[in-house]
Amino acid sequence: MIEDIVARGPYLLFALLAVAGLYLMMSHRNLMKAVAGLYLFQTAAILLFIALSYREGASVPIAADGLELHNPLPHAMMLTAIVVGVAILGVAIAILRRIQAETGSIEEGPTGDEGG
Amino acid sequence: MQSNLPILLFLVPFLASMVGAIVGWYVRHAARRIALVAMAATAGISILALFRVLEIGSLHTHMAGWPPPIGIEVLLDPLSAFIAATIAVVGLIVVAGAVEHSGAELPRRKVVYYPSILLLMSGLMGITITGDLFNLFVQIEVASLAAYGLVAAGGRGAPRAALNYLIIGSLGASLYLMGVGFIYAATGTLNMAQVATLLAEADQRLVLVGGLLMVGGLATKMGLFPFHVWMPAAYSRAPTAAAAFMAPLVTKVSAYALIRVLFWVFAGGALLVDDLLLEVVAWAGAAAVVLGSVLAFMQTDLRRLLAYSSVGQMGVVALGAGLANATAMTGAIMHIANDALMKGALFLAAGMALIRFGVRNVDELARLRGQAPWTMAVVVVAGLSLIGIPPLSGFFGKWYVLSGAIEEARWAFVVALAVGSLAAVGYVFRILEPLFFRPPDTGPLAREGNWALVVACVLLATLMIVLGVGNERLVTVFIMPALPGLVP
Repeated sequence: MIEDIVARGPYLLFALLAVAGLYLMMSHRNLMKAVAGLYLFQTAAILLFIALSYREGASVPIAADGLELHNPLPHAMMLTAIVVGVAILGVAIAILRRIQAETGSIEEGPTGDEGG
Repeated sequence: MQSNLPILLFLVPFLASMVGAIVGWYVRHAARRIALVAMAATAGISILALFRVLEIGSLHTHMAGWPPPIGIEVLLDPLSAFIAATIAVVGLIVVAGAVEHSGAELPRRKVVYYPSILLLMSGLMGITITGDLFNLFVQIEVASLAAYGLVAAGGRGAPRAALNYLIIGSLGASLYLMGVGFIYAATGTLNMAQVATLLAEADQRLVLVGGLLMVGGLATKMGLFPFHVWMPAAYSRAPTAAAAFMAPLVTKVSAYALIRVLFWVFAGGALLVDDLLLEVVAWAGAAAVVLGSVLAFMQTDLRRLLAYSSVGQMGVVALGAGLANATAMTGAIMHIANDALMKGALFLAAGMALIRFGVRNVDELARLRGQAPWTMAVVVVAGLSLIGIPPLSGFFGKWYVLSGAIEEARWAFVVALAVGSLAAVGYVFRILEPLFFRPPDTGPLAREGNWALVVACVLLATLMIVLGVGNERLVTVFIMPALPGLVP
């Protein structure tokens, strides 16, 4: 039981982060918290890829003959994904500032016509 | 066949965006001129590439000379070449037609507007040409980031709509990325063609979860019901110039990405998973056809009405893809091009009505009576095409999807299409009624948009008629080779 949990640790953490991110996004009226939830969700995706690259008893992926290596490709992809995530966070915060300048708050208004 | 044409479709608008953003600060009008030249060049290259592809088969570019599966592959096959040409040509017409819109609404921000448009264009082209699942994610985010910024540049309420769009859009992209993770875990590769060959032997549980996540993510980006909630606010609050560019193109390219993933990745042997995914997409499409059109009928804001109409039209595309027979697929691919034309013309006209006549609501359209004959004529053509009146292209897209549904004897979908078309009659008449059958409103007296707008609208309307009348050639020359299963 405990061994199972330890072996699947990164995947459990992935699920936890994704759910926590979704909860933050949906449950709060504060828009900054929604953006934070989004960032948690993106981080969960990154963690999933990193967990995939792990191999039992393998070494750092630097060219070395004869050693088993962790898979380096997910790391390369996730560097890109992190950059994308930061860019989105930056745009989100810039938009938040404009919302604050326009309406004076970043709480979701009671009579929003933004929805569907 | 190796060629550099595919990657040029991405590089030309991308580099022009960077150059335009820098030069635009120092030289008056430079941003606009660079943008128009780059869009024209992209359109030219895409048409050239389309005919090359139809003549000699798919064109491949191996980035940095690394062949797949190690390197990222960029390719144009008949389907992506057709979509790229549609997007590039409509994009060029719309940007040229919306010069006045952007000047009126974003007077001091044109230096940012044009590079953003080009960045969005490069992202859309990237989505179209990529042959790599992770690269698709990156290109989606390139396009989306530019789109968020463009929406936020609008007037009152635009930042809030943009944030909504950003949160839902990024959530969709993250879902897609997670799906890619599961597929990568199951197959160990990201190249679409290679994934397709390996899926049959992979762990089907991983494939199923990955497939659902990827389809969910792409459905969010294409505004497929019930993931359409970002669309009406985003397209009605965005600057009209940006809305006229985004509404015809962004959801269409995402629909293409969905078709690409469904038929070029999952169709390769993972039969059980594929059937389930197709069924989900077909039902979501049917729901979108009905609810999108009905909700469109209930709107008062003109551009919200058009956005909901897009939800319905994208439903037709999804339904055609979900039915997955050759007839319905023909309709789905054709309708991607149709909706690009119709929404391009209608959003351009709606933007002109807002800027020159102050029209926001459908009822205020009476102000255009007698003042804007050309625009009104184009609105009539586009409206009839939306309903699906025979000689116009909108009819044939729906017709093929409908025939496909009848072939499969899926009567629920036939009914959904019929109800959707009836509701479309309703909302199109709501636009036409104030234009033709009401006493002219006493709004600000104004004239029709400038010649560039009129030419752009008339060109789009002419294309609707040409694609409709020359429908048989369109299908045999361009769409038949693009159908899945026929790709070399």
